[in-house]
Amino acid sequence: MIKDSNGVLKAAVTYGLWSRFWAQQTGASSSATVDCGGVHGRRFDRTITVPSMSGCNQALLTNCDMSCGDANCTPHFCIEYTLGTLAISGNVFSAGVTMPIKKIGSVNVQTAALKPVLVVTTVLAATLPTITVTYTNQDGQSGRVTGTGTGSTPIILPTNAAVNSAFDIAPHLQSGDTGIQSVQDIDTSGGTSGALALMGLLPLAYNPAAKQHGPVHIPPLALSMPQYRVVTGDRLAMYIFGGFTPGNSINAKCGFAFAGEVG
Amino acid sequence: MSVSTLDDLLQRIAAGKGMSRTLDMVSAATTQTAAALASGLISGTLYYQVPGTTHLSTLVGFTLPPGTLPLLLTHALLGTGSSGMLYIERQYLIGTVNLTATGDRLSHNSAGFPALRTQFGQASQPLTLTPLFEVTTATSVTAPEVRFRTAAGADGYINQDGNSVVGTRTFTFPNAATGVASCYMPMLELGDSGVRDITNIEVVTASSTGAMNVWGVELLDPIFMGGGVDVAKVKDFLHGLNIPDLRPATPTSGSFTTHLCLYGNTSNNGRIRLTLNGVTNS
Repeated sequence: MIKDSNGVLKAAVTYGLWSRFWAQQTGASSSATVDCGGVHGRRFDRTITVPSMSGCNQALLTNCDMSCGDANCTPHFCIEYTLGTLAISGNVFSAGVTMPIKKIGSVNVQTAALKPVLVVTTVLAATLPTITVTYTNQDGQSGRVTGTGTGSTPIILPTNAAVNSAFDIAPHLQSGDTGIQSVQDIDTSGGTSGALALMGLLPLAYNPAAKQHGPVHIPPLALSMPQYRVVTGDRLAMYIFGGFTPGNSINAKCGFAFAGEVG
Repeated sequence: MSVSTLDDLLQRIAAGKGMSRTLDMVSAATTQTAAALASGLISGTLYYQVPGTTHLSTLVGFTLPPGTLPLLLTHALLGTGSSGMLYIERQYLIGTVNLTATGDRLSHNSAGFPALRTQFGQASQPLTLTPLFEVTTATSVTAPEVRFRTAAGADGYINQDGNSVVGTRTFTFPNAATGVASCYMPMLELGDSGVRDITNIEVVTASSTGAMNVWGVELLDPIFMGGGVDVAKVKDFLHGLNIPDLRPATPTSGSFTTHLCLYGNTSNNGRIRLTLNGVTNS
């Protein structure tokens, strides 16, 4: 099991690194308000699927460099899970997956998304829709509802939110909750068309930027955060949070490297 | 059960028992007036949450997940056009002062203070806070003067040792027209390092207009952003094991207004993209 940088080096040499360079430009997203997370977010719809491995069955992210055309944002590189989807027309919910079990250190952990994000997958035709999510929280309690309890407020999306707008709904979880394991329902108060997906994110890397294409490089293994092992089939996605001009087109250029291991 | 090891902490984060949030923090206005010798020499700026380009009608700081369990800060990531020293801080509203008339003008939240935390294993210990003036209505015509005492000479604050103190130093606003969002650290008596409470403020010289908030600030951690502009920074609190609790302290009684904000010892007004990660400690 990889425990330190020497182990990662050995794995990289033994199994070979898998790396990707990724670039995408996206269009305008819709501004967030305090009623939908309080921070502008965008999802890049070009994702990466972890390929099959031989000799090893999971991998750690060893390096990630992200630069962004917007000076006012923080790129997040994440493993992404679709927890559920909603078709606005007819208010039709479809269940997704449960957050996975990941090994952290020597312990298998039932993960929960600290960053559950509502993503517009088809442009909405809805006037300030109130979105209600019923979910299982970080402690495995089902039937929890967004916007309930002391200090929690309902999720109200902007009118006719644009595709790839991403709204961090963590501030709107039921009072006392911090994460989502799975979703039982997503409901809208109205609207005629469009679609949403609730994504559960496990962050692999951040690169805060002070200026355009001026990020701070952070070796993922050097930061004291959970080092999630990716497996074949995991979907990797890029998000950007922050900024005050979400109408700007954004391009992100990223390079990643993974070292395999047997775990 | 409380967090016990680094592995335990990381497993809790993976289990979704914590926080990972990015927000934009911006100063409330761009009209700050730099400090002068008689106003403490330290210019300051408070940064509040802004979704987009417009502040909320009621300024709020970095919002945490609703709940009461301690939330320990593990990482801070910042990108900013500002320079200088930034502090992650929690501020508690001690009161407000109307600067347009002389006399005892502190409208005081008397019930909430001292603010209490468990320190060195002892529960409900009073916090020593750094006093901060935040101008909420610009002054005009005359630079107001204030001091920590009553007009009759009674005490003005409770110091770090719990002693009542009559302030002798006069704080003079740096300009007859001191701008909104200007922030200053007022001078305390020699030997005092902070306050448990501020009980009285005398307006010695009034201004035609003007008002201020009086905050008690709990400085959680400094983040030096270097010189110049356009700086990005990552701070991993676990490497130095300074892992402050982001949740507010407990009021002695009643409640108080409190925000988790950034404070910069500069009158610069840049936007700060702030990502805070933390773990819930149960």
